[in-house]
Amino acid sequence: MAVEKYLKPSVINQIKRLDLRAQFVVKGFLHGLHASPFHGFSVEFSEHRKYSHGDDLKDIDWQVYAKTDKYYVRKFESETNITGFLAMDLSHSMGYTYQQELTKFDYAICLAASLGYLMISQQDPVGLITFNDRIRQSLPPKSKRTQLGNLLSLLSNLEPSGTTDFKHSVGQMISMFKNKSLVMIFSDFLVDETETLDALYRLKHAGHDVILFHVLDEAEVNFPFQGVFKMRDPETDEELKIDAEGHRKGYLAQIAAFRDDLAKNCSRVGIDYVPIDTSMQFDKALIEYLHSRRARG
Amino acid sequence: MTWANLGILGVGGLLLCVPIILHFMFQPKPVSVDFPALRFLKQKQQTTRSRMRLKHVALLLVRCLLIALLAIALAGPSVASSTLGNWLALGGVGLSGLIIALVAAAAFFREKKNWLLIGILGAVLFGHLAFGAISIGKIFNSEETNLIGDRQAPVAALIVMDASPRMELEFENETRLQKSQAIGQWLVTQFPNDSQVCVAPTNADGVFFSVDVGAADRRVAKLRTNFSGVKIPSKIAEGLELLETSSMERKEIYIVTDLTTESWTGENTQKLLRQLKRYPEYSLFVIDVGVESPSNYSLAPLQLSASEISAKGRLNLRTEIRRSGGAGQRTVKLEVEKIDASRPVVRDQKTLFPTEMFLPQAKVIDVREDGTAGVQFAFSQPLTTGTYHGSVSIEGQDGLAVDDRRYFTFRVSTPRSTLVVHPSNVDAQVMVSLLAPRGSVAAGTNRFECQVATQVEFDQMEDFGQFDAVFVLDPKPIGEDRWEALQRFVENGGGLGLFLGPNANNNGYIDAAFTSEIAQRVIGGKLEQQWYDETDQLVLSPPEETSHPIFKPIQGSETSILWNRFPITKFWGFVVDAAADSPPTQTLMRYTNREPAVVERVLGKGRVLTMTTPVTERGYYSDRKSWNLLLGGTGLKPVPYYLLLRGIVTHLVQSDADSLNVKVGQISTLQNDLRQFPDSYQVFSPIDDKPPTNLNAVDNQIRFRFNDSPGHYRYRGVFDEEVMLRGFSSNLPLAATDLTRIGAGDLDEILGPERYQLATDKSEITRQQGTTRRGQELYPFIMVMMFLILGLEYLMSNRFY
Repeated sequence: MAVEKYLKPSVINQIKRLDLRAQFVVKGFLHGLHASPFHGFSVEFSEHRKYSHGDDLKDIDWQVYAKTDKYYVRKFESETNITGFLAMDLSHSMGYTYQQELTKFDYAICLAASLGYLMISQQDPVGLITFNDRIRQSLPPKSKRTQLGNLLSLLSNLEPSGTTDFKHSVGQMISMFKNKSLVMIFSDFLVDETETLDALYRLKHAGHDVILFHVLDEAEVNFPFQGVFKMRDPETDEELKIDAEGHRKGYLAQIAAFRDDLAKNCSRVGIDYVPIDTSMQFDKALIEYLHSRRARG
Repeated sequence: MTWANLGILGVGGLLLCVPIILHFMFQPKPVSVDFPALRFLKQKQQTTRSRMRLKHVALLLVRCLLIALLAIALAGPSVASSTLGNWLALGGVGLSGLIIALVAAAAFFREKKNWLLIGILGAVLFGHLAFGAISIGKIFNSEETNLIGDRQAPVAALIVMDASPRMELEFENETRLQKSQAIGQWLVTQFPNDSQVCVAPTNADGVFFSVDVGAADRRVAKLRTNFSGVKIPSKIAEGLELLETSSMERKEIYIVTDLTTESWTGENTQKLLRQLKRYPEYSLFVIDVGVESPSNYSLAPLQLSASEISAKGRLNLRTEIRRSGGAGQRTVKLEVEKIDASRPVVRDQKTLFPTEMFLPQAKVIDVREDGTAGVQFAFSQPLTTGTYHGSVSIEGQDGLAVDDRRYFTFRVSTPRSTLVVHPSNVDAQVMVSLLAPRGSVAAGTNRFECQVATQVEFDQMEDFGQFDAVFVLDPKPIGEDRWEALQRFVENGGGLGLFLGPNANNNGYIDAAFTSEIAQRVIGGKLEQQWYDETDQLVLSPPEETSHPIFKPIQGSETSILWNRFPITKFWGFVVDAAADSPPTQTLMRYTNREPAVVERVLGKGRVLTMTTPVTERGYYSDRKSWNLLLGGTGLKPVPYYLLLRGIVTHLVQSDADSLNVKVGQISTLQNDLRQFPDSYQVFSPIDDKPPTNLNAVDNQIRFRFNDSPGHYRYRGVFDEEVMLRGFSSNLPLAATDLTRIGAGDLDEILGPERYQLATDKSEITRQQGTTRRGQELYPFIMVMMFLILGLEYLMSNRFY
C-alpha cells in the first residue's frame, strides 16, 4: 500500500517538490561555500590547492606560503564519511497547524529534506528515523543519490499520530547507532521537559553530535487567539475552555520560558538548539543556522 | 416618587429575565481548536476562569441595568422638584459607584494585585455607599412631605390677589390689576373638576371657598383695588388657615402680585414662614405681574401750615413731586372748592360734589431722573368761616394716577379766645405777643384773641367758660376755689397752661397752695423741692417722641434745634401721679437730669400742661438769678421755645383737635359741641356711587372710621335750620404707592428659599403646575444614564468578546 501511494503521481510530485525545495535551499547555501558546515567533526587534511577568492583565510597554509611565497589552502576530506540521522517526531502534535500553510511535520520534512540533500551532496550517508512513543520507521544511512528519493518518499507518506515518548525513542536510537553520528532531531518537544533533556544528555554522552530543531507552530509561539476557545490536546485529548485574552500573557511567558530553558540546557552540553516556528521561511531559518554553525567552526 | 405607567415596571421586571436567559442560553460558543501546547495553558486556568466569570457577570449586570433603566424610563418616574437634586446625586453616585466597583473587581482579580489601589477603590466605594445611603434617607424624608401624582386630582386652591392701589399702574395698555385679573380668571378655569377655590384679594374681607368655579371667576372679575393696606403675607396666613380646613389632599397657593416691597414687607413675616414650614406639602406659586422699571410721577403727602386759619389768615402748603424713571416736567395744580350749601347731594344714585373751584394756582416743576422736587403754595385771601376742601394734583397722563393727587381740608374760623393770667411782677407780653401779635390783630389774621388778667383779677373771676384756654404765668399761690374753678373749666373741655416759676416759692420750698390735693389733681402730680444748677449744663432734653401735637411745629427739624444752648438754672421738682386710677398723665419733655419739664394731664374733656420752669424770665434780674435763659440772655433767638410754646398753645386751645387731614384707614375725629353743631350728619364718601351714611355725634365728637378711599369725606348736617358742612380729607400714605420691587432674597426670607415657584406668564404657570403636581420627570436623566451605560456595555462587550 505504501508503495502504491509512493507511486502515485501526487506523491511523486510531492517528492519532486520536496526535492526541488531541498535543492534550492542547499544550493543557495553552498553557493560560495567550500567547506562543509559540518567541518571539524569527521574531516581531515588531504591536499593543498591554490587559494582563490572566497576561500576562508584560516585555511591558508602559512608554512607553504613561507616556503613558496604563494598562497595555498589546505583541502580537507572526510576520514570516514559523516553519518547523519534525521530523527523525525511523528507524534500527533506534529500534525498541527492553526493558520499556516505547513504543519509542524511538513515544516520539519522540509528542513529534513534540505539537510538530507546537503549531506548526500557531500557524499555523506544519511538515514531517517521516525518516532513517537517508539521508533516507527527507519531508513539506514546511505550516501547514494537515490537515498534522498527514498527519504522523501517515506517522509511524504507519513501521517503524524500517537503520543511522544522521547526518552524511550532516544534509547532505541542509541542502540541503533553503530558509529558516532550526527543526529538531527525534529520535534515540538511538547513532552515532559526533564525527560527530554535526560534523553538528549544520553544521546550526547553516547558521543553523537546532536542538533535539535524545535519546531513549533506560529500559533503556539504567538498565541493569536481572541475570544473563547475550547482547546484540545491532540495527543491526550484533554480539553480546556479558555478566554484567550485572559490566557495570552501567561501562555506567552510560559512558552518563552520553555524555549529558553531548552536552549540553555542544550547549550550547556553542546547540543545545537534551533528554535523555529512555522511562520518563519524555513530556507532562511536553515541557512541562518548553517551559517552560524559554519561560523562556529 | 410617582410613575406615569407603573405597569411598565412589571413588564420591565420580566424583561430583565431576557439578558439573564440570553446570558445562560446563548453564551458565546467556544471555538473548538486543537492546541498541542495545552499544558502551558492549564496552569493559569483557575484564575483566568474566575476572571472570565467576573467579566461575564459584570457584563450581565450592566445589560440587566440597561433594561432596568429602559423600563424605569418608560414607566415615567417623577419626583418632587425639591428632591430632584437628591435623586440626581443618587443616580450619579450609583453610576460612578458601579464603575468603581467594576474597576475594583478587576483590580482584585488581577494576577498581580495592587492592594493599595484596591484599598483606595474600596474606600471610595464605601464613601459612595455612605453618600448614597444619606441621599436615600434625605429623599425618603422629603418625599413624605411632597405630594405629587395625578395631575387631574382636585385641589384646594388659594388665589391671593394683590389689590393694592399700586396695581393700578398702567403698562402696555393694561393695569397690573387687569393683568392679574386675566391670569386669575384663566387660573380658575385650569383647576381640575371638584376643586375648591378661594379668591382672596388683599382687602379687609375674610377668606372663603367660592361655591363653584363660576363664582370664583366672578369674584376675580369684580376685583377692585382698595386702600385697606392689607399685605400679602397676612392674607396668605389667613388663607393657610382656610386651606387647613379643606379635606382635599392637594393644596395649592397662587399669589398674583406686582412684587412691590410695600405689598410684602412691614408685617411680622416670621409667623408666615413658620406656617409655611408647617405645611410643606402645600404648593406655592408666585405670579409676577409687576413692571421691572416703572415710570411714574407721584406727590408726597401735603404739609399744611395749619388746619385752621382765621378769616384773613394765610395757609401754606408744601409737598414734593417724585419721579420714578427719566427726567421730566410736570405742572402741579392747586385748587380749592367753593363752599356750596346745595352740595353734596345725591341725584340718580350718584353723589354730586361741588364743582366750583377757586384759588387756583399752578406751577411747572422740573424733576430729574428718579429724583424729587419741592412744590409750595400759599394763599391768604379773605374767606368766610367754614370747612374747605382742596387738592394738589399733577397734570397730565401718568402710569399710576392714584398718587398724582393729594387732598386737603382746612377750616376758617373766628379767633379762639384765651386768657393770660400773670401776677403783677410778671410780664405777660411774651405770651400775649405769641397768641395775638399786634400786627396780625390789626390785619385781622390773628388766630387767637387774648385777654390779659392779673392774678388778683383772676381770683375774682367766677368762671372761665368763655375761654378756650387759660395760661397762668409764674403764679403766686392759687386758692382752693381757683383750683376748683380751673378743674371745672378743664373738665368741660378747656385747656390750662401752667408755667411755674419763682412766685411759687415759699422760703425755698414750693408753697403749700401748689401741693394741695386739688392742685395735685389738676396738674397731675406733686410739686416738690426746687432744683438748682449753676453749671449752665442743665438744659432741656430733645423730645424722645415727637408725635405729640405740642411738637408739631418742630417736627422735621428736631435734630437741628440747639436745645443745649438755652441753660436752665432752676425748676420745680415734680413727681408725676402714676396711680392707675388717676387720670392719664404723661411727661412730654424732661431736663437733661431726667426730671420732668413738661407734663400733660388729661382731665375730663380738657387738658392741663404744666411746665416746671417759667417762660417769662428775662434772663437778668438785679435781685435774683434768672431761672432760665429760654427767652433771653443767651444772645440767640429763642426759636425753639417760640415753636414749643406755639405747639402748647395750639394744643391747649384744641384748634388742632379736629383731624381734618388723615391717612386712609385712620379714624377722623371732629369736635362737635352741640351748642354750635348738629348732633347727626350725612357722610358722603369720595366715591360718587357710594350712598351717604348717617353719623351721630357721641360725647361732643363725631368719629368716622370707614375711611377707606383717598379723597374728601363730607359731613352734611342741619343746625338751627341752616345747612352745616364739615368734613375731612383722606390721603394715601407715601409708601402705599411706592413701586420699588422686592428683591429675591427678601422674598426668600418671607416665603422660605426654594419654597415657591416664580412665574410670569401662563405657560410658566402651566409648566410649574405640572412639575409640582406630577413632579419633576426623571426621563431625560435616565436616558442620559442609559446612554452612558450603553457605552460602558459596548466597551465591555468589545473588550470581553
